[in-house]
Amino acid sequence: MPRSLPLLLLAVGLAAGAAQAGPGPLPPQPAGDPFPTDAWSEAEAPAGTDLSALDAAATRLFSFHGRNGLPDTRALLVAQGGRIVFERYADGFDRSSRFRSFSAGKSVMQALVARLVFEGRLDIDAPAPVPEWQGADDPRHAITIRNLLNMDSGLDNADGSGTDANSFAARLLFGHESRDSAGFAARVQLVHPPGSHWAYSTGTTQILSRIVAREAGGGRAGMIAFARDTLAAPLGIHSLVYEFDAVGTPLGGAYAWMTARDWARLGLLYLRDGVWDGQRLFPEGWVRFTRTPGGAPNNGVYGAHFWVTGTPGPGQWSNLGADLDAFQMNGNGGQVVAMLPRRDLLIVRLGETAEIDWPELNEALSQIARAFPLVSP
Amino acid sequence: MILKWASIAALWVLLVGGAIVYRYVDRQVVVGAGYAAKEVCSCIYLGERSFDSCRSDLPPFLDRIDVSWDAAERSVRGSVRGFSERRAQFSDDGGGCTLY
Repeated sequence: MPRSLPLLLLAVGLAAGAAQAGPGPLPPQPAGDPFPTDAWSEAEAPAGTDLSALDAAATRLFSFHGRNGLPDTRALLVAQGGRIVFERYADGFDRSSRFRSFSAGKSVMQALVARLVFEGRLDIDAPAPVPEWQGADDPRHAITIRNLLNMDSGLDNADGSGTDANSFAARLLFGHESRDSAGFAARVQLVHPPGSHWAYSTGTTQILSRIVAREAGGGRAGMIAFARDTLAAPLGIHSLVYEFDAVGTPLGGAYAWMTARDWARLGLLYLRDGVWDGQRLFPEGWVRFTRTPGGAPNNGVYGAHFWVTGTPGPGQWSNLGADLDAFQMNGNGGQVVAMLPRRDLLIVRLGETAEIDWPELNEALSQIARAFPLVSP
Repeated sequence: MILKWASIAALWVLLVGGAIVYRYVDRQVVVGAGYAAKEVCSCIYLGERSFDSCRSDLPPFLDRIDVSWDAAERSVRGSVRGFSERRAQFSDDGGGCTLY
């Protein structure tokens, strides 16, 4: 029997390993370090940080310019241990400048969904409450809010190319169809069974945005108040603006605005597992759900309206280095809010991509991340 | 007689074809004009930047869009002569610019 003991221990070890599979732990706010509800603390980068690598990557990011002579990178902020350790703005921008999200706004809408779930007002595994899908035989009735968050609804409303005026996303946001973005996105056919196929869809976030706005109630004013009271105010965010389509659906898929410091506040809420200064704002396990790729076989790097590092599925684009264990809000033009739990690190980069491209941007941001020491294995 | 009917048919084909082409191009212009109007309006009122700075952030393929700012009306229009115009209107209710 003793000869089987090592095997038994190995089996127990494997079982424990399996139980721990999935996203790693999230770092707590360092003791005695206040949450930045009133103001961000600032500090030197921690011992062990490769300052020259950090500076070289930042300099590189600010060296790409658009036609107007403005750097593509307009804001670059790094917070470690809940304190700002690096912050730089292009000329003409500063810590009071608001930056638009493009698709990073999808993650803000996810946070508002989380607040509704936390308050017991939405169930992500129930059929999504979408008026266009309520027919008794309508196959879209099976689509859940979880499917919408994981971008695997199976609906025929994938974005298409960003520079194609005929693409679904271009018509959704800027064409005649933009008047009622959620209606346009919802009135499409199901082309895959829900949960079976990942496809990036701004229209999907517009459907979610309408669900959130209806639950908030009170039209535009109600939605503005809901976002402010349930999410922005508890975090000390004062710059958040959501824009709307002509019928009053918030443009959750593309147009949220915040300062770099406020984008970082939202990022910190996720890095702290949805608990802000002792107050739980998201359901238990929500950030784990956020960081876990949805189950569609062609998805490797998309969690719940957040991107995660890993091996992209076919047609998916890359994020920060796969070794970095990051999860991120990403938006067109190179808007990135990246959370790196193993380094207790937060990187915010906002601006344009007139000259720099995504692979180069990802490489520079990964270089910044690797300049910081690990705080957990 | 045959020539007359052929001419009428040819004219009809030309008109319908022209209308289809116009509608196709107009749909593309609407998207470009809408993008330009929305981006510049939001950039001015939420980004708090100058019209020229905001205009220069638009990608080169939108250079043909005429973008105009009406400071009194707090709106930005995007258009191409002969095609549909789009207007983005700022509102101070805290909801930024809306495309109409």
